[in-house]
Parts: sequence; structure tokens; C-alpha cells
Amino acid sequence: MSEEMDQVTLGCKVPGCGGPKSGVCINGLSFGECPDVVTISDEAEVDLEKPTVIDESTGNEPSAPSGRSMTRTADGPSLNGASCDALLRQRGGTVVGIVAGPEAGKTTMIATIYELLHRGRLDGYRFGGSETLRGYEERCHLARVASNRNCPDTARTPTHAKLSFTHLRVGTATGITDVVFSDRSGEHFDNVLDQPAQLAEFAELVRADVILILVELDRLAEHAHVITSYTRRLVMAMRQCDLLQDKILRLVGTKADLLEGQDVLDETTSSLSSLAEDLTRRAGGNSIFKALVTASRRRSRGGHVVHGLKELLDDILQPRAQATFRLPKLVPKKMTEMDSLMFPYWATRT
Amino acid sequence: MTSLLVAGMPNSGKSTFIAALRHLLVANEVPIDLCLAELSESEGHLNRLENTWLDCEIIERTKPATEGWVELRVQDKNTLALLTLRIPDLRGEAFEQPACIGQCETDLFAALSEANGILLFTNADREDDSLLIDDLVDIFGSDDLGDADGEVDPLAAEEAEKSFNPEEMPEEVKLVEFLQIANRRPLASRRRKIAIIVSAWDVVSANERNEGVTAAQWIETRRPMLAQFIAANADLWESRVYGVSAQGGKLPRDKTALKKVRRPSERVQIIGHGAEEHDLSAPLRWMLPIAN
Repeated sequence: MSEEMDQVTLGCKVPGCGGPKSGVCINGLSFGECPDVVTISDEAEVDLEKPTVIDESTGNEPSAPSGRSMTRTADGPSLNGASCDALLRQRGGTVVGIVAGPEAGKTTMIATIYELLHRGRLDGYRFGGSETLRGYEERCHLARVASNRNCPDTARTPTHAKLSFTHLRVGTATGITDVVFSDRSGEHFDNVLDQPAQLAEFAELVRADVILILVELDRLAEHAHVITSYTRRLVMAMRQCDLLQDKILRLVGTKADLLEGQDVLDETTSSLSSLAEDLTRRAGGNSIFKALVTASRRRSRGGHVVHGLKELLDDILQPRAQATFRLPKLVPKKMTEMDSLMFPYWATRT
Repeated sequence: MTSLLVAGMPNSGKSTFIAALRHLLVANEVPIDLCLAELSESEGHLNRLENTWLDCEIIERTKPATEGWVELRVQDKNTLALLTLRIPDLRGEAFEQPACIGQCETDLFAALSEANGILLFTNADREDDSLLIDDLVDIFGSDDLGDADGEVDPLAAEEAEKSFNPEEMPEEVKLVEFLQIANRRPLASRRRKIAIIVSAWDVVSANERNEGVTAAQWIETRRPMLAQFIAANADLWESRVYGVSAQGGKLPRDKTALKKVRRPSERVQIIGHGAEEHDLSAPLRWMLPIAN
């Protein structure tokens, strides 16, 4: 049997390892050396593709055929709605809902904040951990030398991808705080504009403490009317779905690095500020939009540097007033003797 | 029984450290805080490691067949307290799995849960594995990343592009994720001691050492993610950083010179927190209950 044939009939017992089929051994060994490599029949090969069944009561997986029992330590590369909710109930934190059409730079912005933070390049902040390290690493891969690319890029969030969240634990001057960023395909926002009422089902915007509306500055410079109209309609839909109340709102201009020359940058920044004022006016003054210009990439040596992301983080993590909750003062129509005794207590409590 | 966990990615110097430590404890030929009180029931793994170290041979990467749970019965020379240390010598890949596949071998997970302290290894003698393309542009200029004309052939570029492979994530990411699971549900958070060992300290450039760069300062600049993570979570991790050269030089280049060292224990070098020059047991002693 040829060696090539051998590779085809070999599989791996370790969950998550593609083994000889992928050409990469999770143990970093040659396939002849790795004890987890087994010869498999066609039927067994199909089984290997299925996800491993986990004992929910213990969190343990059944013993691997090699005798190694595995314990689950994370839910996945990124957080889904349920795991994000569980994390927030456990630790609290700030939810950042990101609203943007396709290729507006959502993922690049999230990934660059992570890159700057863990490299210690965001003054006043430090990296305190993340529940979605692998998710960030996947998002950052094409900007790393390890990708073998000549220029940095970011993989697009596919249309079929479900809503996901990335998480950062950020050390600040006052302690550690948790932040989750929503990541949803831009096509979802394009589509929802056709049925604006469906925006109320965008859970991340309902729960958000901060909403970032992303606007591509290079497109704003070239197609100002289209971008302005698109953004206005998004904000109108959010207002109609009551998604703006008591939230920090930012109109974030992205890709400033693509603007050629200071004049164009100044002019586009001015347009963005005007749009933010317009949105504030249209929201009736109850919701204030503030414009912020960012660049998450450097295009060439000596060109624009990454900027605006520290200021963005400052805004996201700014101290927020606690929501007030007051019990209504209810008095029984017919007071009993016990009610009369309790009344002064109710009065002080309510 | 006191459990210590020796953790680190492949080729981070875990086994070499254990081999050198074993020799120091047995030989008792240089000033050291701990000494070996008695041999344990199973010494085969340690014997093989120590022999390889004494022969100045490169200690092969730990493989599944050569993994072992090492038991060291030691005595503190100051307090005369007797302690049994249980230290796993596991292949580095086991420590990668939490970050790569979100799972951990159950016995390692239990050891992490029970560990009184963690010795976390990072090798100073490795390239930056998280370098950004933007950083490379800063160094070489964007034109230098294309071909001779500064042009990039899109087809060739697409072929050369490597897709994301979790096993190739940076070391720091894997280390941080491994530490995070120690305080993640279902485990209860608790404060632990962690000694970060910068192995192959002898390869840290002479310039840096002449400038008096400490291991802690080196970690802050070369492993910023790990350093920030530990500092930001000081309520969970009481940390110290040591620079260690357990081999004493680079093999096979320095083999002849190392063979000539009269007392093999003197090959070992450690710096940080007042540790004696050759005392590899200093980080262990700090983590033990007797350290007060």
C-alpha cells in the first residue's frame, strides 16, 4: 500500500484534530509516531466527523479511544447569545452593539482593539483576559505575518453567520471591567431596512449599553447622499423600535486611513459631524450622537497611523449613571390592622 | 502532598528544568534551599531525564510515551520541613488544547485545579509568533514585501496565504487561556502563586543583560499579553518572574564547554528575587507552604 493510501485510511482519535486527513497533527508529531492515529474503516471515518457527545452533568466527554478523558473548558471560539447572557449575569459588563452594513470595518475594528490592548498600545488600559481568545485570533489572522500575506486583511463575517460576541476583560485605573462586542453580518442590516420592525429582534441592540453606528469614511467622501440616507434610515428604524433610549450613541467613521490627504480627511470629518448633529436632531434631542473618526490599519510606512480607538474605548468605558428603579407607592383600598402597622414602613421604602 | 504544576508550550524548557532540578537536589553541591530527602517509589522518568542532562544531550520533546508524573520528596534546609512534590512532566501539546479545541485532558485539568502553585515556562529563544504585517512594513517598508519591482502577484499571494490554524496561535494566547481555565467555572476562583520562568535566559542578548534588564522587565516587553494578564488579575495570581538557564548553554553548540564544567550543578543559572546563582529550587520554595 502506498504512503499516500495510508494517509487516506488513517484517522485521529483526538477531538478537534484533523489528523492525517488535514496533514496537521495536534500533538505536533509525525503520523507514524503519534499514538492517537488509528486506521479507520469508512464507517468509523464518518463517526469521526460527528461532534463528540458531552456529558452535560459533568461537562466531561467520554474517554477518548486512546484512554484520555477530556474536559470541556470553553463553549467555543466566540460567544453566542446564551453564553454571552450567562457571562453578563455572572460578571456584569458593558455590551457594545455594532450597527453597520457589509464591509464597514466592524470585525477589523474589534480585532484591532484586541491587538492594541494585548500589545500594551492603548494608554491607560491593560489586557485582563478574554473568554473569546480563539475568536479574536481567527479575526486577527490575516493581519499577522503568520498568514503569509503581504498586506493585512480581515475575513468577512459571512451572511449565514449567526450573531456572535467577542469578550474583553479590560484593566482600567479603577479596576477591571468586562466588555462584549456584538458581531453580526452586515447583510443582516441591509436586509432589515426592508422590514424595519424586525430590528426589534436584534437582541444585541436591545441589550446594548453602547451602540456604535459605523460609517465608512471613504464611501462617505464619494457617495455622501447614499451613506447619509442609509444611516438615517437605520437610526429611524432603531428609534421606532425604541432601541436608542438611555444608550451611549456613537457615529464611528472607519477607514480614515483610506482617505488621501489632510483636506479630504478634514472635509469628511466635517461631514460625519454634520451627520451626527442631524441624527441627534431627528432623535428629538433625547439621544445624542457623537462623531468619532477611526483608522484601524496603516497603509504604508509613514502613512496614517492607527487612531481613534483609544478614544472609542474611553467612550465605551465611561462611567454610566445607574438606571433608577422606583417602586410605585401602592396603598390598599381597605386597610387592615396589619396594613396600618406596615404603612410607615412602606412609606420609607417607596 | 503538595502539588505543583509545570506548565508551558512545546519546547519551552519544562523537562530540562526538571532534569536539572533533580540533579541539584541529589548532588547538593551548590547552595540551594531544598534537598532531596529520599527517593520515591518510581524514579525511572527522573533518572532518564537527569542522565540525558548530565550527558549534555538535548532533552527530547516529551511525547505521550514519555510523559510522567514526577514525585520529589524534598526537605527544606532552613525549617527541616519534609514535603512531597508531585509535578507532572507532560508534553506541551496538552497545554495547548484548551486554547485550540476548548478541551483539556481531565487529569491535567484536575492537576490544575489542585495545584498549590504553577511554574509557567516561556522560552526566550524563539521568534516573535504574533508579529503584525503592519509592524513588518514599519521595519522593511511596504515595497519590500512584494517582489523585486514592489509588485505582488495576486495568484501567487493567494497560494502562499495560510489559513487560520489554531495550533499556530501565539504562545501567549495559549498560556493565557490555560491560566484562565483555572478560575473559570466549574472551578472556583482562588488565588494561586505563579512563577513565570523565562527559560534559555542565556540567549537573552548580552546588551539587554548588560543594561540590567531583569526577567520581569523582559516579560513586560516580550510577553506583554501574559504580563498584563497577570498584573491585571493580581487578586488571582501572586507572581514572580525568574530567568533560568537550566542547560547552561545552547546545545549542541556549547556541548564541549558544558562537559568541562567540574560540578554540573554550576551549569545552571537563575536570576530573580534574590535566588542564589544556581538554586533552581528557589521558585519552588517560594510557592511551598514553608515559604514564610
